[in-house]
Amino acid sequence: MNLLGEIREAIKGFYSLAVGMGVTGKYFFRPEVTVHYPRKTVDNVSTYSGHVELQPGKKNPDGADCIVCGTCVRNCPSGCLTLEVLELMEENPDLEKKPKKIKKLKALIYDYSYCSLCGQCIENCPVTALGFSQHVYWAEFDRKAIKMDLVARLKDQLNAKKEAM
Amino acid sequence: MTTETLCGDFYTHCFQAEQDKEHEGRLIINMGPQHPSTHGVLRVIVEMEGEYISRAEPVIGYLHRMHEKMGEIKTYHQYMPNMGRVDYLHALAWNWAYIGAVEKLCQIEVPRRAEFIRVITCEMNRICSHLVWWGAYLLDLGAFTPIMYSFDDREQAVDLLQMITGSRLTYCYYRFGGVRTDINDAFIAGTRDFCKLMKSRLPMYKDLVTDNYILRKRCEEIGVLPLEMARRYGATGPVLRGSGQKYDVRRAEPYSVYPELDFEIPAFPEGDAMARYRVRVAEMEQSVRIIEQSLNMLPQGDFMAPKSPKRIKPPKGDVYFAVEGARGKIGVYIISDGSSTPYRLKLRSPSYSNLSLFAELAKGTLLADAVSILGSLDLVIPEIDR
Amino acid sequence: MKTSENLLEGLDICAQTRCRYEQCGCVTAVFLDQVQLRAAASRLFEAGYHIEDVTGVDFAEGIEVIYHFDHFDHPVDYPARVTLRVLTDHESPEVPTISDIFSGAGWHERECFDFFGVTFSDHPQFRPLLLPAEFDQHPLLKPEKNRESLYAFLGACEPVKPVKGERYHFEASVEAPVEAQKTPEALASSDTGQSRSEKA
Repeated sequence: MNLLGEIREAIKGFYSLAVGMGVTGKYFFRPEVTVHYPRKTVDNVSTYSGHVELQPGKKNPDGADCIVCGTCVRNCPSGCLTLEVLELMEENPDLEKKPKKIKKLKALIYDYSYCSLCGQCIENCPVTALGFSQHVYWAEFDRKAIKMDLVARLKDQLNAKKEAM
Repeated sequence: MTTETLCGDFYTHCFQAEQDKEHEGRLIINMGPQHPSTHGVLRVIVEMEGEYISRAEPVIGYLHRMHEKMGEIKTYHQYMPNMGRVDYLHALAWNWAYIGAVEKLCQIEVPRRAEFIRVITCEMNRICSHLVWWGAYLLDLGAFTPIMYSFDDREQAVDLLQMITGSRLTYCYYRFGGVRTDINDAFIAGTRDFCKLMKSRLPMYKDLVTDNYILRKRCEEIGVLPLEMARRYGATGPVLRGSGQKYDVRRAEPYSVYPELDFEIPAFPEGDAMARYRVRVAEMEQSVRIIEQSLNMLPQGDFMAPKSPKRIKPPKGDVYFAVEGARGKIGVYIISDGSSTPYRLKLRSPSYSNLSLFAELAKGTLLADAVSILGSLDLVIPEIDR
Repeated sequence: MKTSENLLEGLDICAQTRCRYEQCGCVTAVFLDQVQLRAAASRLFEAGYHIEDVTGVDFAEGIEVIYHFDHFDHPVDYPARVTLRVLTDHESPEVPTISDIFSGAGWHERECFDFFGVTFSDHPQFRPLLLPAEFDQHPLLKPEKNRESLYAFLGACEPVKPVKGERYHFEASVEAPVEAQKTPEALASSDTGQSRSEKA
């Protein structure tokens, strides 16, 4: 390559550089777009699907509507849900008939570390007792700490709500 | 080479054993598996002749999760979330490939509205994927600024996708016979704004990067891939289109409502890293076009087929379904034995074929150019290893 | 472009099933003898096909190795996916390599070895790829009781030629192939039934 060509190449290079610098220069005066967590948080958490949780029931405002059918447990791809069932005898048994057993939800153990947030449990629940939470800023140091009982969590939530009222 | 000097693992030994007699004593080094330019855990063993690569061999499998075995154990519904994890950058294309294969097997009808929603979200995801590639590729080449711009734009798209899918990266949104949630007016308005934004940003990208002299020096005539070689290796996607072949599954094997949409298949005949770069940037433009058209054509109706089965038990038989992902042809091959789990499930990942040609492509190039070539192949390691 | 049927004409084909694209995504699925595999692959290569994948399936009769090929320039309404199938036994599974014809098959064949233990003879770089080198199991092999018969799956597509039992490398020990049930004429005209009764 001759000298003239070299110079032309260099000018081209510098021109492309100047154009690029022009772009960055323009954007330099644009307002900041990043959000500095935790001092500020993003405003679209409401659309995010966090971990699975029991929803306050429509029929049963003090707990969940869960009918202990086990559909969520069967449909979970990673087996992160475990049902603990409390079997009670009917309170006022009809003496002529056999006493009925009533199944009640004792605990729903949920291992968040295995959950892939696919929503199969929520979609398949016949009474829509499950839902996604908006509990997104959740971090723990210990893997065991993110295994929890959803029934206890719901109870805490309802108690907190009552206290606030 | 004597046994005393042998070091390294099984693959290094094999690589050393294949060394030519006359090349004995040439330096053999490992690039990766923690090298930043390998985008994850890819390892490339290279034999160096000074600064030039005389032989290379990619070593993969560090992120192998045996998705195909999982497919044989889980039911058809339970396997869905796996698809978001195969290729995390274009998760919705993998969603679609799997869902589409099962729908074809069971002959499930999908409502028109759902098809359009799938097109919109899948193309949006494609733009996200290309934006990540664009930023990361330039980062490999030593330009730090562009990734800031691309992630700014990607954030807008991811926020929109979060609005309807609930997740930001590993989507599990498509369902047999439709999609999980309907799109709302806020999403449609936001998507229109995003299309406008992308249209103004793409010329800016051109000024900032594509015309940049340094970038062109690092991409042009680097890693020239002849079309014949691309065919021999079964390369697809932008890698193939960068060699001049206008092949796109959306046109070649039309699925969903793509035949009704008007878009072009960008192809550049040069075959170098720059051609692959241009294809992807042009594809973003086409994706914006597709999204705008789909939004205009979006019909009212169901987003989920009313008769979509709760339990999938396909008839006996096999099915191959391919979709166009951001990296090429994604194929899902299912053999069903009539039970609720597949008898065999094969995932054909495009990066796998695209990477396999690297050994031949890198021969005789500079080590620094090999980084450029690796980047231009747009590798997603989880997809390669599956 | 030649149609995929003409393409493989003259080869010794064990069974050919014409598939409906709408149903199974491929146009022709051909069951080949191992000896014919390389010849078929060369013809496909010359006709401008590219390799999509090589994979295996574990059946009761043996391990079936499946090759998918596709074409770049086929007409829009005529997708050109061609499937080749060969069968190899469980004891010493071995299939000739096609990696010198389609370079891309090299990695797929290595993957197939990892998952099924199928050896591809004359492969230039035959070593584990996805699984660790010291891992000597093949995860996609099924336990014997879970293996299904190959014949049950052959019937899924419309058969063009009847399956000729003696060309397989295995003993066709199935009571009634689904295919033969569907086409009694084919059964009568071919020597399938005869050869099976002889073996029995």
